[in-house]
Amino acid sequence: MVSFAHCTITVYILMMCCLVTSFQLDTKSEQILDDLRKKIGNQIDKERLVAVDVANAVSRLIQQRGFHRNVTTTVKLNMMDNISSNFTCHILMIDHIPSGAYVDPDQLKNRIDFGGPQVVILDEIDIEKPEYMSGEISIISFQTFKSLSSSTSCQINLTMSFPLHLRYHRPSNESTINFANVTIHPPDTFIRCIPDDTESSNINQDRKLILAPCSYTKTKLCHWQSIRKNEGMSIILQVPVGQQNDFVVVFLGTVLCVIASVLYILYVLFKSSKDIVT
Amino acid sequence: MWNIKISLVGGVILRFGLLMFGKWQDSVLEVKFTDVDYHVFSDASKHVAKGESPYARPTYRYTPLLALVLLPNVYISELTGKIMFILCDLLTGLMIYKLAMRGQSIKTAVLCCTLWLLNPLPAVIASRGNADSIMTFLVLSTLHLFLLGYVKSSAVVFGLAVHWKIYPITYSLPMYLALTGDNNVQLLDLFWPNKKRRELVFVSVFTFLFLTSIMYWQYGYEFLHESYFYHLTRRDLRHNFSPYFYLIYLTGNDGASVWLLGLITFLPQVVLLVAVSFYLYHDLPLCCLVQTSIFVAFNKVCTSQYFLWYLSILPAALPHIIYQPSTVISSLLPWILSQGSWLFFAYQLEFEGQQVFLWLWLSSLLFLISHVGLISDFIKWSKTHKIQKVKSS
Repeated sequence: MVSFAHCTITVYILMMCCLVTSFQLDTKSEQILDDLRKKIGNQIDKERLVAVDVANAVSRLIQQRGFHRNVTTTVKLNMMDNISSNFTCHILMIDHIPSGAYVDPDQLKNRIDFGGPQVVILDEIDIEKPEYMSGEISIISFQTFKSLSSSTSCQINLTMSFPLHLRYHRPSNESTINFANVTIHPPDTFIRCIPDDTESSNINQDRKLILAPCSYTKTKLCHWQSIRKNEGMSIILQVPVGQQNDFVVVFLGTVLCVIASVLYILYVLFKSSKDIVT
Repeated sequence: MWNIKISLVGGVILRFGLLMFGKWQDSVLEVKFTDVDYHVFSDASKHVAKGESPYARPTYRYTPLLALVLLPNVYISELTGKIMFILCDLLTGLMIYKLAMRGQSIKTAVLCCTLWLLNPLPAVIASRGNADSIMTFLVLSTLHLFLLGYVKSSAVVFGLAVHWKIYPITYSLPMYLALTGDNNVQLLDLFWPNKKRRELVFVSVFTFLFLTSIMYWQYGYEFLHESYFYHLTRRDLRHNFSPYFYLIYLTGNDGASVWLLGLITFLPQVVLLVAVSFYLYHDLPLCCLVQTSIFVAFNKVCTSQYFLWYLSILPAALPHIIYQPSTVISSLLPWILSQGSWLFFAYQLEFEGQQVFLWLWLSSLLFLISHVGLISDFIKWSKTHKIQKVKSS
């Protein structure tokens, strides 16, 4: 006879398995989507979707060095189940940018006409503040990929990128440490693909679908396919920091230089006043 | 025969050409020609057009007058603001001409203003949508009217200039001192509020308070904070030309350190500005040139945008040095080269992620030294200049 304890244990094990395959969203992302669903209400777009197989999880690359970087995210689609017509895919990506970094809203707006994503910024950004006076910024990126075809290759790469900027951090107290770390966690990514020929829709019922805004306008909700997140995929960026040990040298050097400059200008003024024709 | 009209036409063609180029670049390239600040002004104007405060636009840190002046951007075209700035830039050139005419030949005056009108630097700055040309025009107009003896008109423009940006307030002391009666050498006479001085003080203070009160009445404390207090107390620790930047970055956030730092950065400016006022008030354009270059060189924050504040006064204050180009170039060269060294290390820090703070700091000190060299040259170059006394009758 199956006891209550056995049932409980089994349920727990099943739950653990689900967590490991990690369709679980970040709690903050969950909260954001919940708020958006409440705001948008019942405006649900009933689209005929096409299920896509996402090979592995989302991959990410952060390019360049210094204070200005480029974050490139790639979603690889496995084109094994042949979809007869061409289709369009939309990607929704939620990022929580740490206090050590920020995105520039004006720059993101300018990039839209040049292939950049539509980015919805959910928090206030002060681009001038240092890291210790700033908070986390949540952003939602939307990008559309048109005229995709399964006939050309077995794998399609969908790439979206956005520029990221690093903030000034507190100076280092150790003379051997000259950099601070900024950790960029993997995003929560969702995809929805619509065939150009709506008859080809083949969305399976057992695919995990969630409701989220269809686009950056946040006027309607759509069904999105959740993409597995690779929890170990955080990227650590290094940003140069000042050396607190330099303080004495910098203080003395600056003050001496300034005083010498002031005295020199006063001297020149004094000397020139003796020669003025009145 | 080259005359001012040719220079003006050349200036117009250059600037409108750049305006058109900018329009093209913005539509075709990801890197924009237009200054980011121009969009800030435009957005603030849109808010004002809707009856809101211009400060609803984040990073709008100017007088509401600017947003009001740019209202045509909302109703007519996004380009009207830039056209206005270009116009002010051309008028700046005209003011340089008028000021350079004092005691000089027409040829000298034309050369000086051509140096501005056909100069790509101010032309690009104005056509990118930077509002500094309004300031340069207001400052030079103040000087021009003052030197012609129109104290009250000068005071009105002066009040407007100080309302717009704080830095011209340093000119108030030399302007006051310059209005001496005839042949007064006693200390009391140096400060005695004679009729002209009373006019200067009352009219400029009234203009400033009038403008500031209206804006305060309309937009409240936020106006005072964004327009004035923010600029006085800002603690920008990101790298910039200022010799203090690394010191500010390394200084803690606690009250005592910040206060001490404020004092260290404020005292040199005050001491020098007052000294310059007393030594050079008899040659007002030169005094303003030296004061503003000192203000910029010793400021907590220094960006290349500020250089135009005093470079615009240079041809008006020292027109005769245009005949000594080698002297000018040998003076400007260290100033330019030290900027180059700073820019090299700034690039290494910002784009290559190298920890070069100490090198950048040394470059900023080198830049201060070259700046001081340039300023002392300004003072030395005045020795050959005939001083014009202000009409005080």
